[in-house]
Amino acid sequence: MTLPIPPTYMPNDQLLHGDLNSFNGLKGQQNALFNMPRAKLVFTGSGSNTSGVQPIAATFGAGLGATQYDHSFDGSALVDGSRRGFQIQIPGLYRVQARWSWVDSASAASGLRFLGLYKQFNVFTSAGANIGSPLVGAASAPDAFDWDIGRRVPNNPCTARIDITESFIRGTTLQLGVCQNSGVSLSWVAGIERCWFSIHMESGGG
Amino acid sequence: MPTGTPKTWASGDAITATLAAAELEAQWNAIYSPPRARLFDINVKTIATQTATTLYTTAGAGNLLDFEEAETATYTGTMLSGPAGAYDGLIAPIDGIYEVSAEFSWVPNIVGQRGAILKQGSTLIDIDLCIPSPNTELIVGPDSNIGDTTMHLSTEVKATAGTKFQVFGTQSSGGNLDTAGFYGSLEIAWIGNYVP
Repeated sequence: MTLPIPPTYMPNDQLLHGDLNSFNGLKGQQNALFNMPRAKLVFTGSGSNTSGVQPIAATFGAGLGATQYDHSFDGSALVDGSRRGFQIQIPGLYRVQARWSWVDSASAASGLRFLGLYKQFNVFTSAGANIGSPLVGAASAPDAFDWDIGRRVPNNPCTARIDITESFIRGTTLQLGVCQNSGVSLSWVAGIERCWFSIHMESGGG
Repeated sequence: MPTGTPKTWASGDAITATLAAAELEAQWNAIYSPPRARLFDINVKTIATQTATTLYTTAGAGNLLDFEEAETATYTGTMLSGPAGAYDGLIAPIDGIYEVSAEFSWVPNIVGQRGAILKQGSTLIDIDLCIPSPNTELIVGPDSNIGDTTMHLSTEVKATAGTKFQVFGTQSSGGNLDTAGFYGSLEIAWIGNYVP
């Protein structure tokens, strides 16, 4: 899958309707402009991660996430079939955003809340499988591509945020991983305002 | 325009100047003029404790600037919601995926928590919560308002034409608390189509 390539017309070329309708023609180029690849997953189920220093767990297991949209000019899908994350079909510059929120309670007043973004090549890990090194200690970052430690606000969900723009090659898989060390198991907060993962293509290339 | 359907050329179609211009103009507009708008509030808004309140609604001359607005060739309406001088949000002009972001600041006060809420219609689409830093007196810089507590909201969502985006402030200082002037803004930007 690639972006349309503008045709090179020669003197005396006769334009045919098929040329204009083709993937590389005017219609194809407009479709690419209007329908750049983009997708969004929202955590709509229930789930939690256990306390303590632990391996990163894939957050979007089968049935956990709802696809808000998954759209591309060439019909390819970014969302993995089990809604574990995204796989780049068209190389280019992408903006990737994510939010993840944990509930708060007096018994979970300590520790950090970690959200990591992981990229691999052609590999989707199953829900619960390790996709990075364990969170060692309270503040060290495992080998995430990007990560954030959420700000705890007592009696309110604690949210970690990721927002990057980066070039990816075809076949790159992107997943989230979470970890917390409050001392107790913490639930995630479902909803489009609390836990989601989105990607959209800014431009081609790569 | 961005949501237009590219023409499917039929055999025998004459490639007239009119048709070619329309198709090329659509591409041009898609690249350079996708719908986008920004509200910019230059006024202070006083918000009662534990009462989520819509920002950008204080009436009065000059209290709100339509900072920028770009339109497509075929969209000529306004993305502003509410009467002039008391806009309360922005409206998605066409169906599509939108980047939505907002920010505003609270004046220095270390009691309680601060919240910012972004709504799409009645649906919450982003929330920012924080505890004000108690160390504002230690912060120095070129901006005299740097001790303010600034809230940030950003997300991308699908929206149908007419959907309203609004920002709410909420706080638990125990009394009224002002937002800081010159900082509040709300932006929407269309980034592409979506298939409903």
